[in-house]
Amino acid sequence: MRLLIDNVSKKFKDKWAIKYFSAELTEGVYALLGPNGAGKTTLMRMLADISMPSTGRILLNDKDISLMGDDYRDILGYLPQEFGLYKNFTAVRFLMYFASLKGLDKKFAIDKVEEVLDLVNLTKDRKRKIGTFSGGMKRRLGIAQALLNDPKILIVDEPTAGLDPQERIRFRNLLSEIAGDRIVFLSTHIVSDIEYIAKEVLLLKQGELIQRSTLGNLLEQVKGKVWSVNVTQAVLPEIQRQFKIGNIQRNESGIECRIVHDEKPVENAVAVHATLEDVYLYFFDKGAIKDV
Amino acid sequence: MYRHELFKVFTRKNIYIVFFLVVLTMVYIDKNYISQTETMEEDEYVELFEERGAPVTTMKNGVYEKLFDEWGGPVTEDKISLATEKMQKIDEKLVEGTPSLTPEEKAAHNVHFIVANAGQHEISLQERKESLQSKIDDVDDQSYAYKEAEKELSMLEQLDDTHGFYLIRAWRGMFDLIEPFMSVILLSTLILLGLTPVFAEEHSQRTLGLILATKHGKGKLVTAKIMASLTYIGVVFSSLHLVNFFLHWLSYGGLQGWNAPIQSLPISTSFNTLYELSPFAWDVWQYYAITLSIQFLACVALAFLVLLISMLVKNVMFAFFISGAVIGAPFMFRILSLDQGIFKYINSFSYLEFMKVDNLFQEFIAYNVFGYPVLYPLILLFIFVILTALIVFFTYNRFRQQQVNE
Repeated sequence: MRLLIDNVSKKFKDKWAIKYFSAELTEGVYALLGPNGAGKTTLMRMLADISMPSTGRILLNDKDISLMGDDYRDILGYLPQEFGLYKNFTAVRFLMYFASLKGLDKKFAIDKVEEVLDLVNLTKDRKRKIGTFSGGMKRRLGIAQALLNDPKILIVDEPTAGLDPQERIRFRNLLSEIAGDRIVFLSTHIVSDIEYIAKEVLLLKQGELIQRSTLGNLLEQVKGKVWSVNVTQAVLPEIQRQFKIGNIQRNESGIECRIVHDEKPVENAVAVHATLEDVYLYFFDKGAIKDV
Repeated sequence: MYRHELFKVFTRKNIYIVFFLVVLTMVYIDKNYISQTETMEEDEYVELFEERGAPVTTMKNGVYEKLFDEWGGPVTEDKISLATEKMQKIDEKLVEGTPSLTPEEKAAHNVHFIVANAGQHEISLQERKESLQSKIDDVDDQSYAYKEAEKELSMLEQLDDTHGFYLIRAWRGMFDLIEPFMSVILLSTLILLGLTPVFAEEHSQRTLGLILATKHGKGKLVTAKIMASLTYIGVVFSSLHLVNFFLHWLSYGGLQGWNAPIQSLPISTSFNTLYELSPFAWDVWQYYAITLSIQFLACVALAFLVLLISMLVKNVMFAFFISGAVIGAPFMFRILSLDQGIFKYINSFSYLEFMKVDNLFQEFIAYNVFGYPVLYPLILLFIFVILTALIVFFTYNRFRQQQVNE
């Protein structure tokens, strides 16, 4: 299976949300990483066939998905970043409704609904009205609907937003498990979501693909560019102004700063191992990392 | 999918509240207006008589049935002259200040009026036929005027003893909910409440993205939504008319007159009729079936329009008011005396007139279509079938092209 994103752009009035984006995806988890406003959601919508590209095309096994229509969406699972649910529906009714929208046979759907409810840990809440659900439970229900039809292509936009750490780990592992024979395209600005599962990482900045590589290669690119330094409270503002700062941690000898910079930033700085968080910081502005 | 769409429509609480209020209004009107005359005192009766300029019905008991044996059926010259004579005698008594009439005398007086009136209608009908015949004789037989007069005359010739006294009171108001214009208001309010959210709510609830990304989310879903909407219309329409039916049945103690000609149908406030020159040779039950069928089709046509507006506007409130404006515009034109020229045509072929039905069959109205007279109800139906087909096509097409970009 090959999903080809061929020179795709999306323009709203005079602003490019996505600009000439190209990538080829095969089975595995792909992480789309970028700060808020980078165009991740717009790209995801085009992949989910709910938004038309202004230019370019998206091909699945050499067939244009806009021409495939129902056949493409038949093998698609999609979880948008923001979505609503029907408050009057119970979890089971909601999933049965989506099972019918996805063309699942009723008998098969009944079993499948139970299966996905179990996957997202909502079995005991299956008969509760969605209006009484917490934000995290609604998110999990959204994930469940995306998985109902065993999608060959799973597009999930910021799937872990609002989930507690335990659920995030659970979902991460789930994606990893199912990615063997399908394409999972995951967008996030939370780097820990993809640290252990992404086959490749695509870095998106202001609508443009700025890097596409494996996690190892990205780490290699920032190798020797991550530094740790102990500073006093007095010089901290100046350090923050001059460099991209990761973690700031107070310790007995002062304040330990993690700096991402091409050269040694200050005299007493020590090179340290890079993480994906440092990669993110290296390529994007520091503000975007606050949710990590 | 249909079942779930139905669930969405029928779990809106406001439709139940409004439905209950509508039924309550119908019962209130029935008890305090329609049945009012059944228990009326003599002085109130006279007051109402003067106010309306025509006798009112006063009883639902067997008095009229007895009178029917003597006066019932199509009018004859003997009946007319006898009725006129008796009416004159009673009028003289009333003028002389004779003690008030007994209920039986009042009923007899009403029947005399109906018979005499039917005689007048019979004369009007004959005059109309003669007028049409002279028009046919005068104009060029290739002209539209000739064809129109010929068509009307041929329809009027089909009528057979249509005017007379029939026990038909239970059918007054059976065709409308309270009255024709109120039928439109009540039905369209319930249609708008139930259907404006159908597509618009998917936007406001932010469920559209999830739906459109599914296999059937761009095609079969529209069908399911339409089917659920039509089911809703069917339930609302049949429930209201059933309530109306039983209210009239109970108020008048039966459904006599179902096989009377529609030319005898009285308007709801008196024994006068609006159908005296109607060229349609139908019995009351046939007219009831036709009226309800047309009104139901009008509701269906309106439903498709509301669904399209709901999809395009993407906001329930806006969709509600825009749909309401489309229905109410002809009424506003009339209030503002704008129903002339092109507006007259817009009014005649509006959703309002289509739902109201009552103007379609009261008299002969035809339009010139390529030189041939085509009856107004037929053109109206044809226009709305075409318009609705286009709306349905556009709805499917537009929904398939929906994008989520916000």
